Amino acid sequence: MPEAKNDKNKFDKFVNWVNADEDISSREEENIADDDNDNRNDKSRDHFDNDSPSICDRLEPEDFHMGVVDEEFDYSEMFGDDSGRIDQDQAAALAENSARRVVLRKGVRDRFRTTQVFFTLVSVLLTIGIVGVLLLALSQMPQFGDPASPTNNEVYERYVQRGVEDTGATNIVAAIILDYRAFDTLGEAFVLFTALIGVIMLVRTSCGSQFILVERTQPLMLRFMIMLISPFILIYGIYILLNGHLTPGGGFSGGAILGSALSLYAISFGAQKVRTLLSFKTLLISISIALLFYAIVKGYSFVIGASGLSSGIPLGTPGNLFSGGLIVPLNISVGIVVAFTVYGLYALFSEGEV
Amino acid sequence: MLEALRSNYIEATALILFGIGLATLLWEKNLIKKIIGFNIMETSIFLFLTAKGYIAGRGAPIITDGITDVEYYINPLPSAIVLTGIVIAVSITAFMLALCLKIYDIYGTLDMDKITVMDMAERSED
Repeated sequence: MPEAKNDKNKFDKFVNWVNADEDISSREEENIADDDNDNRNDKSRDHFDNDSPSICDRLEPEDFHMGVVDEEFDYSEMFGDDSGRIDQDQAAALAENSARRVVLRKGVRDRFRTTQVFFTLVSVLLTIGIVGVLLLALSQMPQFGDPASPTNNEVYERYVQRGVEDTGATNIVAAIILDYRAFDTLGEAFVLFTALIGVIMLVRTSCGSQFILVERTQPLMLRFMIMLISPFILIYGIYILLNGHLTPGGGFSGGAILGSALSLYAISFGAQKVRTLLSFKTLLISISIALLFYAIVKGYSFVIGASGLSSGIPLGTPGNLFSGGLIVPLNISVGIVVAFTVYGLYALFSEGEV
Repeated sequence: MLEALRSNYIEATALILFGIGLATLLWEKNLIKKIIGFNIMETSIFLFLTAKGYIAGRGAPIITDGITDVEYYINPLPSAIVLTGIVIAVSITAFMLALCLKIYDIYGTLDMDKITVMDMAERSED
């Protein structure tokens, strides 16, 4: 195994590293021993015992060789020496010794190469075929900007003509996504929430900071500028959020702006500062409450509306800030979900912790 | 056919972008580049939908001065669909990147060929 290859893969093994003082060779032995342990019995987590440090222990910066770019794909290295044919048992033994060293038999190697050539040919043909068929279909479609196009049918006319009357919102897109088709938007917000939960399950460690071990300090100038502009970014995000039913914008765009303001603050001042205000628990509870609020309020309005009753929610004067019935509160709850999800995704990917 | 494509040049661009994204998805070995290809495909579909919603000479679907005449506004439905699509695209991208982190944890590489070979070696042991 070349030394460079080992270096590259230190990242995923640093969990098992013991002491920064020890030299690399002893570390590698430790790693292999731990790997074997894992293979034999996944349940016995010996390296989390008291005498060996846990995953949470901070490593020194020089222990951490992250960000090494994957070099050129070297077939001869990957498939082993071409001259000597290596049998299956040997390959298995080698693969067991080092998870990274993979040696294949000659037959398997040839089959793999044939598959690759076949796959490239098929993908070329597939791409050309699909794009050709799509362009052929496009040439039969109505012209760009044609008012007589069949997409501009009575549904669109109904939304434009009756939208303000029905919902009280002058922004027809907001009226569609938060009033007519509000349950679809609830599903959309749930997809976002589910993605956040999935990322938390995959990335978050119990003690955090798996990927960035060194606390980054940013230059004074950057911190000063972020301090200066982040209030304005927040105000702009809230403006976009609250005016979603009057002008372009709404919960999704305003929430994204708020989330990026939070991320910007976390970049310059460290996530610890944001965490004091917005801990993991607060974040999840806020998102859950916002989603619950959305579901209950819109469910109520849908049930009442379907029964032909008056929901008792005033629509207000179209064009005013407080108009549009439920659209403003729904925009705010969607904004909370999006802002916290965007910030949560940033924090999880950069620190491994919200 | 070419004349029709020239008048529909925005949609044609979207479809070619779709092809570029599909090719990236199929050819690239690196998983991150595959995700980039996937995102190009999504973006091309958004471009296609918004282009289909446009009507020449009309404004954004925001009722101004109480005018509710259809003649003044473009079709708001594709915009609403694109808004949904963007959120779903962000969610899927985030989840795929998290899966990539896990794959890198286990295999030490994001190269599909190397991952395939490692799997084949494991299978040949059995």
